[in-house]
Amino acid sequence: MNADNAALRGARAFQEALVRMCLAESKNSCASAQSTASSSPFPRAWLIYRDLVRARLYETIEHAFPRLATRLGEGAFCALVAQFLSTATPCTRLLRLVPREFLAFLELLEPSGAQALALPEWALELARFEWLELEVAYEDNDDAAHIPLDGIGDQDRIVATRACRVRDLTHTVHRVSREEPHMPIAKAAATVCIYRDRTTFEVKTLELSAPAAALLRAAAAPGGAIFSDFVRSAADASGDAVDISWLEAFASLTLDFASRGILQRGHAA
Amino acid sequence: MGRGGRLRAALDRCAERFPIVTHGLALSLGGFEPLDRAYLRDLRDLVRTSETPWHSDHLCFSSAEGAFSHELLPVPFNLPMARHIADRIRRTQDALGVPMAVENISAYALAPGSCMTEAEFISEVVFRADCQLLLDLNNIYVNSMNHGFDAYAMIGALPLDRVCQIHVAGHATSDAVRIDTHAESICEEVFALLEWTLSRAGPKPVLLERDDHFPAWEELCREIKRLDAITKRAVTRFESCRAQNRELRP
Repeated sequence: MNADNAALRGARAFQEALVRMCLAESKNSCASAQSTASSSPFPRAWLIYRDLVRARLYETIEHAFPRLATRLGEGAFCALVAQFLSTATPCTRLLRLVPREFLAFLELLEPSGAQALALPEWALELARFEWLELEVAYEDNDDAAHIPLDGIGDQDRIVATRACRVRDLTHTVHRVSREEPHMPIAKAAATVCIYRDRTTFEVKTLELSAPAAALLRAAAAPGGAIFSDFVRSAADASGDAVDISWLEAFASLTLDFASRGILQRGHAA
Repeated sequence: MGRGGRLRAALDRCAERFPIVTHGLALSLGGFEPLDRAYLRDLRDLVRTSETPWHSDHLCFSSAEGAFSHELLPVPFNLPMARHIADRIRRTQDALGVPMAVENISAYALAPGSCMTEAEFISEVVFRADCQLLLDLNNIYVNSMNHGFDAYAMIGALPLDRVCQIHVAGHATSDAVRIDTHAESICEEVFALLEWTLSRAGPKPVLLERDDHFPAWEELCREIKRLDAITKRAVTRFESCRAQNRELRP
């Protein structure tokens, strides 16, 4: 039994050293793994694992933040990922959530750290925006089938679907597309809705006016909004007189949101 | 797991037409960290809704000290490690409520402390855990080239009656090391191993793994047709031997 325990202790120490070697910024910075590897009958082969681990993690992160990677340039982005791997290290069991941990690492970078890495002031916001797009793309489906807004009554609830987010931005990061990643990013406030199209599953972004943002925020509150309150919040936000033309515009906007898969009628309790 | 949108819709469409078998990379069965209860709970939900007949994962570790490498890393082939993994497989099986199958991995180095052959190690784990074997023939071929052993002898030493599924794939060669990539066509040697194995193991589901560098659709279909033809030929041979009450020996 003691021999068994010793064998397992040895295996555990080796595993820890190997994972550390794979994630360390420099392959020479983890002496214990190197020495363990050098006692193996196939010593240099362990470095293959380091290359495989780092390539997979880099690709996963780059795939999640393609515009950030392009804007920062390969060298700077690589350095950022290497710093993440060695200091924060991926802790999630799910590969698809590694980019979320990378984003958390960026958020925790002290301003001095960000300056040292020469990150532009919009970098974090662009990263957050790109992650939000992924989150929306793969957000859980709503519990039940879509209920259209036709015939909605005053006391019915209107709700935002799960796959939509309303966010205030301070830079125009939402205008940087995959096709045109070098589009200039300006410092300008905007409120956007990132949503998943109900039929095509494509993730899209709408720049919102103040009344539209108020509408969606009301619908996104837990439990959604009673339809009459929903209309009132839109009227308050617009500051316009509520007349026939306002109601027509409101109805058209609400139905447009519903057709995109942003809003739906709430389920009866 | 826990995903909606396009992927969920695709899975639902597949489930309407085909039976689903779940396969994972994240259990780290050869690791030393406690089994992740939250992950097992989510996996159990998926296993139930997909009605998978078994769930498979790999004979390897991927995490240590809370850090995840997201790579299939080799464990030493020895009895204590076989017992350790078998215990974790049993506990996973209990948590999921379906039988487990374990898959042999490609390895580019041998973990220190190994004192068994890979076939002995796999057999030990499978019998101790009372689980099934997902036999990856490309991984066996890759290992046989990287570590210098006879792939046929290794397959012959495995408990083929425990095989629930076979994986085939392509691999790359880098600095004389074979690397499992799932990004190339299957090599001739692996096609040959498949025929040899199926004629001894009998009919088994065969899965072509292709994750990257996809060829033209027609080329992929040709590969599938060839796999079909090999499977039919090998299974006919297996059935004919069985009818004559004789078994093909390794």
